[in-house]
Amino acid sequence: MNKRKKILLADDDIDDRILFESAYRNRNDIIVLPIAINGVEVIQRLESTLAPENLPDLIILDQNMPKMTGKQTLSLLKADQRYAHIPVCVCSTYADHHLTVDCLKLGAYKVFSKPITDEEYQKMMNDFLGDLAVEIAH
Amino acid sequence: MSDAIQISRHGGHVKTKYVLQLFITGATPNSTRAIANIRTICEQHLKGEYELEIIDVYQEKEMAAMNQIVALPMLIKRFPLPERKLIGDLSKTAKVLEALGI
Amino acid sequence: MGQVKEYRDLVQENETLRQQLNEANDTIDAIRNGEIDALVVEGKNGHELYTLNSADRTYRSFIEQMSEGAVTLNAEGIIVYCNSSFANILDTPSRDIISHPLVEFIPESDGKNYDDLIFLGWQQEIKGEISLKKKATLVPVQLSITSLKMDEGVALSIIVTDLTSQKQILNALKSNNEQLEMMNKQLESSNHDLQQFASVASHDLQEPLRKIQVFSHLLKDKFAHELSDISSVYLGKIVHAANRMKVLIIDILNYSRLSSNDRNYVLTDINAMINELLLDLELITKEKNAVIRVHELPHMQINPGQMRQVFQNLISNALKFCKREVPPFIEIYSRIVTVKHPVLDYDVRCCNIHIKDNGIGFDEKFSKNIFNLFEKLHSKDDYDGSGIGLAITKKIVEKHNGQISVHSKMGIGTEFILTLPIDQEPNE
Repeated sequence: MNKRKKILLADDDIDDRILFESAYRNRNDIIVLPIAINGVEVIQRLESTLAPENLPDLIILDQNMPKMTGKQTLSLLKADQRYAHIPVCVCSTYADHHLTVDCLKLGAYKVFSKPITDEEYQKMMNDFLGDLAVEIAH
Repeated sequence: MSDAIQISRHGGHVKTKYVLQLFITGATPNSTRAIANIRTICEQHLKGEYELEIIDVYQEKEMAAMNQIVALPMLIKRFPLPERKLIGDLSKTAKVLEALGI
Repeated sequence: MGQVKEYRDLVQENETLRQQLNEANDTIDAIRNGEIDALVVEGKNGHELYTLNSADRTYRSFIEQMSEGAVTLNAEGIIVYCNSSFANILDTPSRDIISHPLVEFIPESDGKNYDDLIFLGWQQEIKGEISLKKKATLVPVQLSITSLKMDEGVALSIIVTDLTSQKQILNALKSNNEQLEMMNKQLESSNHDLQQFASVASHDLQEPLRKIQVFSHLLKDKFAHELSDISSVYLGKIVHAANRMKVLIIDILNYSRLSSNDRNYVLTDINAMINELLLDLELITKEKNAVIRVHELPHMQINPGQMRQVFQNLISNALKFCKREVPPFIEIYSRIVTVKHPVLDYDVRCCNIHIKDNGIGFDEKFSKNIFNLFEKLHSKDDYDGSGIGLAITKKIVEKHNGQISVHSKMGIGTEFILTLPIDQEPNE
């Protein structure tokens, strides 16, 4: 009965996009939606999604993006009644105390340092999905 | 001399208080000297038996007229009687003692 | 009877007359000998006191030679007397001053000020500042004004104090202060720039670093079977070096952040803070079979974010530098002490927090060195570390107006002592 969760990532770095996609390619509890390259595209994507059930179940934002940072995108999303209900995570190369506190105050679901090993990628996703995650045998 | 007789008549135990007034003109040279001299004389000859008042007529102008002062500095012996006056810087000790009746 | 009385009366009269004659003679002698200072003369206005010139000399010399300026004004404001100091202040000979109105030497801009001062001066003693015309320039002075009632009439006596050097000193102080303030601002701004730089640099450095780590790991994990032994070893070194660099960058960032003036002191439950910290260290604690015993610590006014770093640092170190076969035993306890303020000399209530371990210890002669930036007592191959941790710890403790000290014995263990004031001054 568990529907596959739709994950929307926004990251301007091509390597990170490839890493993210390949890390979760073999998981059957999530669908990795086409990755947005910045925060503006995230908004555009959401606005062009007509059916509310097609909206992502989880949005992950890279912090250091051009045009709009992850934090700024988060702020916009939480201010928009249509999308405020979607959990948003913010990822950064180094999630320091200031960033963490600021994003949590804005309503972020979690703030994470970007994973390095595959193990860390899976752990991060498991964390995000909470109790609903299926343990992936390594 | 008459003062000395007064004392002896009373058996020598009575301390006759000397009441002296020195009229000066502020910090002028003779005034300053007069003050020093009278103090010395009082301490040496009248110790414990005198009352000395120093009046600066610059500060108390009326005193000069009231007391019929002709020139300053001037020393007046009020008590014991008779009243005696002495003008000058009081440097001649013998004269002062004579005026005071000592 | 009558005849006897008469005789006694005569004798008395004679005595009195003789006395009077003596006094008159003495007076004349005194006058002749210059023992007189003044004469009382009966004039039209009653008794007048005539002071002899010689007697006046003391006062005259006094006024003449004193360093302050002295001026006497008559009712019309004309200078009837001035001393040489006053003439010097105006850099004008006194013959060009006396008989002139004082207002002639007052600049127009100070006209009203002068009128007010003089007006008040006739009524009461008054002091005021004003400028005087000194040839082509102005000189700042203080006037101390009193009115005098003299035989010849009324007069204003003014003592004039030259304030030039005082004003110069004041101006020098002011400009000094301004310079200091400017330097302060510059320092603050440069500090801010450094912080910004450190912040940006560390973020920008971390990005490529992460790439190195990610792809090195990928090679190691996914393609190990394709790599020769030596390639694997090389790869391992790349991974290891990248990890070290990450720690270094984070530590540098943390250290640079400590320069700012963020005095956010909050009354904190230290025990609760340490317990939270121990949860984070759970993994490594279990791994090493470590026992960490924390006794009751007082609530203290601290910056929680910073002090957390201190305890994290010290506890991590204690876990890291443990003896190989002996499980680490770390004890944290406190003692309340009274310490004398190093500058102001009053008593300060402090808490000594001891962090004691049974690790490898070190030679106490290095006890000062270990707090230096980038200083390490072991090679990086033996023990990991950036060498910044204790420098950060020391900086935080000192920011809290405290001190840190350490005792150690090689092969026995180490004890760090934090001396912290229990209360901090309120934020300015």
